[in-house]
Amino acid sequence: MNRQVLLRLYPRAWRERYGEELAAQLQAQRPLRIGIVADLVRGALDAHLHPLRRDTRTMRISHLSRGTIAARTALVWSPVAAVGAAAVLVLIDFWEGHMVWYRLVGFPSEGFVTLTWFRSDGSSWVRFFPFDEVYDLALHFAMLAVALSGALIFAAVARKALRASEPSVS
Amino acid sequence: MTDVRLSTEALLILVSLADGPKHGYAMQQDIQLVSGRRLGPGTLYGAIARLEGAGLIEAMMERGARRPYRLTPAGTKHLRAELESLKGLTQAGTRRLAAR
Repeated sequence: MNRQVLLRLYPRAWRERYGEELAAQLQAQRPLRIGIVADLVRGALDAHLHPLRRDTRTMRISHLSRGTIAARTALVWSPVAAVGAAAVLVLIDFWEGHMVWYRLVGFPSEGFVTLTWFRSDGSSWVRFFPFDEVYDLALHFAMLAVALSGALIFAAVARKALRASEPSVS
Repeated sequence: MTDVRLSTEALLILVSLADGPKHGYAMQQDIQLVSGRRLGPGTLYGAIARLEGAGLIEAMMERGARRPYRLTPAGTKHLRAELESLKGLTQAGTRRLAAR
């Protein structure tokens, strides 16, 4: 896994203060084991829950209100939670043989989706996809899109509420 | 002195810095040597951030990938008090076990 992606999980202020050191530490961790990845994800969550704020001389633990901390955490982690929730729903759906969603959005009909591509030399390329599999694929992408949209709307509302309540915190 | 409750990780960092300044990687190695426990980078820097925020340790350079940290006078005082408390606890526990 890309080490920079893991660092991006941390709040910006935290990265500005400790990012260079943590990146150097991660370079020394070869291979990057799953335990270290889990430790970093937990550390990132902790950093969001205990944000830093720059004062005149050094970085100190801020005294943000619990509401602000909760809003910040929701802002950052809600898309992650949404993807996780969508993945769980997809798994449940597969477990139940797609019955959960078929009941909601309708059963797929039998047949094939045909994809044809005509080449310039006159030949053509044809593929047949079972309709029910394409239907499932589209359904799961739709679930993911709905979950992500919900999360982004939630994050936008949290951001707005955060700015309205504590404009001095950036 | 700041009233800070130390986690085990924070205490290990303070002990590691007791014999002089160290950067993150050196602390990780030293802690493993002293306690047999290897702190992950996320845990290590989470504890460093809290200790620095509480004024118990301080960075010796403004920037850098290998920035050394040292105990502040408040950190030294806090570590002494914490070790004294642990010593009392260890002695009490040992006495009680011996009496069984």
